[in-house]
Amino acid sequence: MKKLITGLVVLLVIIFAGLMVSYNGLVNLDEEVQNKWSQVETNYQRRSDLIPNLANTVKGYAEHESETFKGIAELRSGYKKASTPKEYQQLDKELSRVINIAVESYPQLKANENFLALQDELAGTENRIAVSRRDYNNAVTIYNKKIRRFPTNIMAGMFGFEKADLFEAEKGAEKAPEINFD
Amino acid sequence: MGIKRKRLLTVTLTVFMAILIGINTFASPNIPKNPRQLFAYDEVGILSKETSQYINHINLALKETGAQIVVSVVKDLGGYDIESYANEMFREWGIGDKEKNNGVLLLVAPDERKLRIEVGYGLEGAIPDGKAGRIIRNEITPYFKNNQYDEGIINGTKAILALVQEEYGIKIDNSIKAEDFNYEDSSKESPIEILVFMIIVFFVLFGKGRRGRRGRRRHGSGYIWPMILSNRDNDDDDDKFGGWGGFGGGSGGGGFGGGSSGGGGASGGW
Repeated sequence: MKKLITGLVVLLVIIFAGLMVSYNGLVNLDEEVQNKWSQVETNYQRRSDLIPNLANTVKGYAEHESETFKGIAELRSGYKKASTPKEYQQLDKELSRVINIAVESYPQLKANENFLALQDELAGTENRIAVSRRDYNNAVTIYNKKIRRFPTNIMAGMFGFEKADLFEAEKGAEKAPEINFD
Repeated sequence: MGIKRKRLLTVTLTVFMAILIGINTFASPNIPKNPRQLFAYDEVGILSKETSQYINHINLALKETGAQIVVSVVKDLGGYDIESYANEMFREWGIGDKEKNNGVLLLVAPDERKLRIEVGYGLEGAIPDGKAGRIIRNEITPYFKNNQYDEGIINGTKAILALVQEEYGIKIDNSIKAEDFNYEDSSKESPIEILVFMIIVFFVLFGKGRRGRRGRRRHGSGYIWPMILSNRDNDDDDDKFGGWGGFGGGSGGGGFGGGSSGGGGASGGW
């Protein structure tokens, strides 16, 4: 009888340990997803922060009433308000348009080191956004796989671990803004 | 200039498209293995022996900081854009220290006339995108346009090294200083910015545990090669290199540190 009880206790301990490991594993993956998401947000923020730089760089050339300047002012308020991927995509198109206008109206900008450096920063930020979105999607995929698999899915259900969302393309978003430059 | 701008905007366009299309399942490019973990990796054969040795030596000298500057010349990008390829290569090879992520990759694809400087998280302060872009525009592509690939690469490497030296407060190549390269903005700074800058500098100098300062005490005895570099004279190389015989064979690679990059840096073409 004693042996049976001991056996049961050992079994319970093992099961409990297994559950603990499983739970902690889920926590880690979830944290990873959160971490990668905040990286994406940081990069979006970085892009918003560059818009005032664009304004400053163009300031020496463009007049307040110019289309360029007005376009930049709109971008500023736009980036402050934007929160969904769709809104950002819209703003990206605007940004390309405004830069095209600026360069057309003030060709000397092409020779301005600050402007060129700003272009680097904008391109770099876009690249960072792309990279961080990829990292986020990878983390989400790993996490989602884990919570959907048996038997972890039971644990996941019990403790409220839900599927995370991947970044997906918006409908009609495949058409990239036309940048015409010569 | 027209081509440069087109290139830059093509880059921007490409990256915008990547976002708009929303790359969920990212098919990875086939990155060459580089099993010996060479700091100067050349599939095409444009690097001179001198340049390769220079690159190897600066990495050995940088070992204490964990920073790594890798130059990679590839035959083709396998149909991928250079941003994705560079980031993938950086991460697969693991350039820079694992904790500090202080690696830099200078990737050149001569057949496709594209290059990129990819900067790890840890060095993004020292080498922001704008400076990386300037290095490409001012120090590298002018040479590339004249088919002087080796010169362009060594010049770019030195420009990168100058910034890394500044970051860690160390002198590896005494013949170069950050001031030699044109990174500075032509804009004038407002008094407020200058004041803020001075306050920051004050705290940095008088604060504790500034990581950069560690490097200083190490450069005492037995460090022949900064001396040799500062006396360096391009015609006379055989003599100078003789003293480094011991470095020859196996030190081509040193082991990458496992660092990662977040996509910072700049691209260019010619």
